[in-house]
Amino acid sequence: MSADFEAVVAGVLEVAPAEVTDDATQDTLPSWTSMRHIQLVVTLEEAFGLAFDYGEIRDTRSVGALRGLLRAKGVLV
Amino acid sequence: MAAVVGDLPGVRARWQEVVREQPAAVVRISLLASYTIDPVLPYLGVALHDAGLPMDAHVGPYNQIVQQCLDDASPSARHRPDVLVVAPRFEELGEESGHASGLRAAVDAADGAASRWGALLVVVLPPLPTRRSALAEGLPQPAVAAREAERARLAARPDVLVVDGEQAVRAVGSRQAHHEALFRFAKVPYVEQVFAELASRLAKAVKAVFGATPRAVVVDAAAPGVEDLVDDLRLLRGLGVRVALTDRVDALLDVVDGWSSAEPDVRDASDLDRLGVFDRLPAVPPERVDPVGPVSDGVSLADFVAGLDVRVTCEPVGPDTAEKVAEVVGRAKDFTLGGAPDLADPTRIVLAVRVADRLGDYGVSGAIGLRREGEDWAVDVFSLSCPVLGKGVEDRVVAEILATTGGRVVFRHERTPHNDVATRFLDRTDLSVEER
Repeated sequence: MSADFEAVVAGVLEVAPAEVTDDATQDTLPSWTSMRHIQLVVTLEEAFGLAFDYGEIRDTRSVGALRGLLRAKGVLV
Repeated sequence: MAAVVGDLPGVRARWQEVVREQPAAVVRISLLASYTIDPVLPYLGVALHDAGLPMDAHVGPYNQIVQQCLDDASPSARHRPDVLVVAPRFEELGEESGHASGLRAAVDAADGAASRWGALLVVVLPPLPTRRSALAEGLPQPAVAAREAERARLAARPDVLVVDGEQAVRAVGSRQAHHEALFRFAKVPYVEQVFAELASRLAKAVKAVFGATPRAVVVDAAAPGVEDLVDDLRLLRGLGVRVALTDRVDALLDVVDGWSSAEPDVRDASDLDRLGVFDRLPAVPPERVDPVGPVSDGVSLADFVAGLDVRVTCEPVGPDTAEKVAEVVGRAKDFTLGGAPDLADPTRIVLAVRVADRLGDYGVSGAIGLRREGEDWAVDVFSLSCPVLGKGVEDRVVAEILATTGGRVVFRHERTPHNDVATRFLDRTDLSVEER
C-alpha cells in the first residue's frame, strides 16, 4: 500500500505540503496539537497499513522522525 | 458483522472543512466520557452537518462524568448544551458492586444535570469490558447485568435516549475494536471505525429529536397485524409524535407535510426505526424495568469526591520513579505550571505523587518540584496527569506542600495555551502565586 506521505501529514495538520519538512516538529507547527498527533497516527496507520506501538507514538515528535519510522517499517516515503 | 462506516480519512478531511466554514451551530452538545472521546467528533460533526444540524460540541475532561454533572459551573455546564452525551466505560467505573454502582452513579448524575441544564440526555451504554479473557469462562456477567439493568431502567424514560456502545464495538469486531497503543498514550481505547460507528448512532439519536425526522406517523388501520403496533404508537405519542390511524392512508399522506406515498409502509416497529423515529426499538416490556427505582440525583460534588476514598502520597523521586515522573511532567498539558523544567537540576527537590482511589491505583500520576530560596520555598513544578484530575488530588498535594514548607511557599507558573486547569486552580486558592 502506498500513499503520499507529505500529503497525508499536510492534510491532517492543515499546513501546506511545503511545510512538511523533516525538521518540522510539534513545537514548530502550531497545528500539531496532541489531538492532531492522534489523528496523524491513525491516518498514517490507515494510509500505509501499519501499526505504531506506544513508544513510537510517544516519541515521534518530528516529521523526520515519522518518516524514519515509516522507512524502518518498510514503507517507502 | 454489520457494515462499517467507510472512508474515514475522507470524513475527517470533510470535518476540517466544516470547521473552517464555521457554520452557525444549530445543536450545542456536551460530551462526557470516562475515556478520550474526541475522535468521535469528526464523524458526529459531519453526520449532523449533513443533516442540517451543525453542532457546537464541547468535550469534557477525561473521566470526570460525575464531577462535571454535579457542578453547574463546570465547563460542560457553561457550554449550555442542548444535548448531553455521557459515555462511561466499565474499565474506568471500577469493579465494585459488579460495575453497577459506578454506571448508575454516572447516569444518575447525568440525568440530574440534563434536567437542570435543559438538555436532552443521551446515554451511551458501555461496551463490555476490554479484558475478555473471561470469555473463555463465559460472558462477563456483572457487566452484562449492569448494562441490562440500566437499559431496562432507561426504557421507562422516553425523555432519555440510549445508544449502545457495544453495538459500535461489535460492528467492527471485538478483536479489532481496541487500539492498545493509543489507549496507553492518550486514553483513546478504540480504533477509528468504532468512533465512526458510535457517531453514526449518536447522530441518529440527535436527529430523531432535533432533525427533520417524521413528526407524524400514519398507520393503515385496515392492514393485517396493525394491532401489534399499539404499544409502539403509544410510546411515539408520548414522545410528541403525531399519530393518525386511518383506512385511507393514501389520501391522508397527500396532506401531511414532508410525507409522500413513497414512504415505506409501516408494518412493524422495525419499519418505524428505519424511518428514524426511534433512537432504539422500544422492545423492553415494562416488567423488566429495574425495581430499584427511577433515575434520581441528590449527591453533591463534595459527597462524590469524598466517596472516592482518594489516597495521595508524595515521595522523593528514586531510580524506580524517575522515568515515570519525567514522562508525567513532559506530557502534562492541562495541569502543569508550564515551562520546561530540568528535573535533574540538583537545586530542586522533586517529589513523585502517587494516587489511588476506590476505582483503581493510578501509580505515579504527578510531580512536585521545590526549590529553597533563603527561608522560603518556591514550587516551579506541579504537574498532574489527566486521569487523576477532578478528584481533589490538587488540594491534597497543596496541603502536603504547605505542610512540608510550613506555608512559606510561592507557586511560580507560566500560562500556556493549554494549562487553564492549573491556572484556574491557582486562581481560586489563596496561595502565593507568581506568574512568570
